[in-house]
Amino acid sequence: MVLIALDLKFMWQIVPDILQASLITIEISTLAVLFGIVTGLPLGGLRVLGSPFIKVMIQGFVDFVRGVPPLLHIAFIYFALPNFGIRLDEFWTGVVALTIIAAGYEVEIVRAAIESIDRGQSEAALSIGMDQRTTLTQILLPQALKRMLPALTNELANVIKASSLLSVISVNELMKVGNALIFEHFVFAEVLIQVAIMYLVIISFLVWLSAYLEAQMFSFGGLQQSGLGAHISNQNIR
Amino acid sequence: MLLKVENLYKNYNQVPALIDINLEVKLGEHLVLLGASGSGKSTLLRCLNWLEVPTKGTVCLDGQFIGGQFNSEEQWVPDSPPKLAKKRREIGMVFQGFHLFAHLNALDNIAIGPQKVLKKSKATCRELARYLLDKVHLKDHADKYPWQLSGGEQQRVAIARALAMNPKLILFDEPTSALDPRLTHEVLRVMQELAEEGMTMIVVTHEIRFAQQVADTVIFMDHGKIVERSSAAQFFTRPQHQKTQEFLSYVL
Repeated sequence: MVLIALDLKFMWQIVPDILQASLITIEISTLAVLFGIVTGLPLGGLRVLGSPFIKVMIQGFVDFVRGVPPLLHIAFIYFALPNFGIRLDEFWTGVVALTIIAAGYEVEIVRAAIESIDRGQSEAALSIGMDQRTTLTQILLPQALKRMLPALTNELANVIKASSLLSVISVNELMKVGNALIFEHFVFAEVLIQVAIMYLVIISFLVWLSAYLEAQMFSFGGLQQSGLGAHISNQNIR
Repeated sequence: MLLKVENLYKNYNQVPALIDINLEVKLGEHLVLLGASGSGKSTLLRCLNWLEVPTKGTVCLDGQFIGGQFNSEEQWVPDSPPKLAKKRREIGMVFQGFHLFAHLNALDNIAIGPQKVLKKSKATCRELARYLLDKVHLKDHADKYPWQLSGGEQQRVAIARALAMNPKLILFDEPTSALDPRLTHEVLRVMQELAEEGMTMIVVTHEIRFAQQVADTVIFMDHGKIVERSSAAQFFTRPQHQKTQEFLSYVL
């Protein structure tokens, strides 16, 4: 009965716009998370094994990223950076801002994963003469990666949702296009429902993908032994 | 003299765990550390490869100080982590909890040291690993992961992993305390074979019979101090100190 009150024809009409905008959202979010991992992984490693000075610097960065609303990070990069001579277009502002946000959280995710590994692993590595970098890359990170996957999926979902804030700086991602359609046609429910569904579809797909990857990674590696079985069944991504 | 420990002290937040430890170990010697839990024997062992950093004192392996060195002004300069790592190659360690690398199979656990630390070729390392696996009687377990191995098997792989680095001496920290009698026997057998081949070993253990059979020298510790040190023969038949006698009365 409720569906009769919606303009289904209009909803069908705007599907291409919605899909195209979704692509932008996916693009920006994926780039942000990937760059975030590329920077977050080494930073996370340094946060665990670096000198006290480095640890403090990295923790400072993390606290700053997590302590300020994402919208401010976006606004700062887009509106304030030009004062310092750095001007990025909307798309790359979005990517950079979201990367910084993602990296801030990912450092913590990496650190927690590494620190959750039994200390005996590091001691054994040290006892055969491995230096700290080798211990990190050969022994700790391979084991940490499995543990990071659930939290990273969570982070990706957060980044996708945060990407909706880019509508503020005119990036033609999903939220912005949705807004534009609303103001153009004065149609609210239909557009909002479709936009919401689209976000849901994107994020659900990622959650599924993550679960699939987790299952793959855990299939060889003694899940039972390491007692992490609860992780797979706890798809608690929100 | 392969290993020389001089005036070693270790405090944890002002609580003394090791008090004035002095000992020497010759090449090929088998030293067993006995004592009650908390007596400091594991702490002492872990100070030898600087997994614990002593509060005071020195450990000298084959003429080289572990953990640092004295500069021209007789001042102690701690080692940088890479330098310490290099020195640690000479000392192997076997842990009570085995601590095999969980993401690697038995073969790779043994091969990774020579490969990533000594930078030998992958083929050479794998061949060495197979040889060592055979030596600890686990030839057919090369592809198994730690969680697929029994405790005794894991510990034997751990011994092979330590051997792969060709150390001058191996430290054993209660290697069989986590194992049931049958698995304990497998591991002690390998340790005995190693001893017969001339490997210098320092073993912290509660296995008195093993100590009687394999040890050349026995040190008894109590509350962080060395109470008695003598040849194995004398230790078990004519213990001098009252605390030693008391300890032995529980086990013999």
